[in-house]
Amino acid sequence: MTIHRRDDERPGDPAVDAAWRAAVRDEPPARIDATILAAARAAAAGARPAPQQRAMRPWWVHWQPLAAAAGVAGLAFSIVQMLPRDPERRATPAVEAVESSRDAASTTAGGPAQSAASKIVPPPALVQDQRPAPDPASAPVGTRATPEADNQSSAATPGVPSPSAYSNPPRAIAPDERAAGLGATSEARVEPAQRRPAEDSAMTPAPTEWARRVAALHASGDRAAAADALREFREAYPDADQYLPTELRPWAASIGTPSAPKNRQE
Amino acid sequence: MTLVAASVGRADTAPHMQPADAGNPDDTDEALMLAYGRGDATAFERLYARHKGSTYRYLLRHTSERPVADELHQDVWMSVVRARERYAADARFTTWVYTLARHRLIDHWRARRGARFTSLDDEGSSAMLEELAAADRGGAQVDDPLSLTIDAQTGQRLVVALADVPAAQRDAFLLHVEAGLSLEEIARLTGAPAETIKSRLRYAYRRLRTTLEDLQ
Repeated sequence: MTIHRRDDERPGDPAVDAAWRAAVRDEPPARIDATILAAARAAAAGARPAPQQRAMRPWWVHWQPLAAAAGVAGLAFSIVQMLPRDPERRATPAVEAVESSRDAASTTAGGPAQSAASKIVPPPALVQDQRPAPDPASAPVGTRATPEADNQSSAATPGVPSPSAYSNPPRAIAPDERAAGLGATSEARVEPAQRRPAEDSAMTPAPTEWARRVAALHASGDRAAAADALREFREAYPDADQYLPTELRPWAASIGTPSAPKNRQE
Repeated sequence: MTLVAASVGRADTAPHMQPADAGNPDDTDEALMLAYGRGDATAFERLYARHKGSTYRYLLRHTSERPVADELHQDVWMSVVRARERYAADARFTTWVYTLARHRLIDHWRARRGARFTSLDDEGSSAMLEELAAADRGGAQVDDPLSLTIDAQTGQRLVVALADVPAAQRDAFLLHVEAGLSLEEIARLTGAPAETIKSRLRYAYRRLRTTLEDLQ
């Protein structure tokens, strides 16, 4: 350190300086000193913790927000990838439960081949949906509902399209729903499935298989066995006649059901 | 770092003006201010104890009113507190703090009388500055008995004589005798040429010497 003295530059008067220093000694009041020092201490106290906090923060704390954002983005991407992409497959949870139970039933009863066939073969219900709304009066005997029985049949025979269902325009049906042979509205289709226990679903063949079996018995000439099979078919599927070949429907119309015996038509 | 210590320091009568240990680099004004900027409150206390008297007298001799000097003095040191983090030791702390004091003094005069002048050292505005300072004093003499210690008559005469000195000359004298600044430092602080400062100092000393001679 170098200290330079500048006495030669000084134009002052030592006598004046000495007299001034000796005579003039004003100092600020003590309250001003206290105010200033308190403010200085408060400012220093406020400035001190900052570097300590910065020093105490570990390095990974700086990456926490970025890591959290990356985690959320990854989770969102995974959820989007898990969602079904086919909009036709976005059914209600109840319909999905029915489909899953039917798939399980097909796998158990008919095996993989049956399951595949039930998904590939278009059922008559598809043709039924694509046609204009049928006249209830021209419906098959087993499925025709009298006006006084409408209230019962709508609830008791859920597979039969109700008048309100006829008044509604036909709706696009998912392939799985078609394979299940459900031609009515989704609500009407879901209800019987919910009522049927899973065990019954496992024991019940598919409508197309059942119709094929009835047709085979009829073709073999065993009309009694064919009639029994048709009755069982109708018990399981109230709209069973719609699955039968066209040439068998007149014969089927002459076969009564246990719940709707022949003398009812009479 | 090279420190410039003017010989006008008041080591005999005001020992707080100069560092107690000038050879200790940690005890200089600049080091203390930097330490305070890092949060060392005791450094500010030492710094304030060194300079509070001189800055207060500088403001009091310019305003001649204790309440005004109190207010200005507090404002100046609060500015020091607020500027603690941006202080850079590229100049002497004394020069810096007296720059703050001068600016605050000019603001005070402007607020009282309007912004009719631009600089305390503007030669063209010296007359106006003197007018403002005289109006600020209101013709009242310094009547504080505390300012007169050993020789009350001599001290009062000097204070009154300095109050009659033009403001620019009084400013140069106070920066020289109270702050301990050299000619070059006063010139740098005020923005006036060094020769101008020397002339102002000579005139101020002549007036004060005449006052002392009249007493003898």
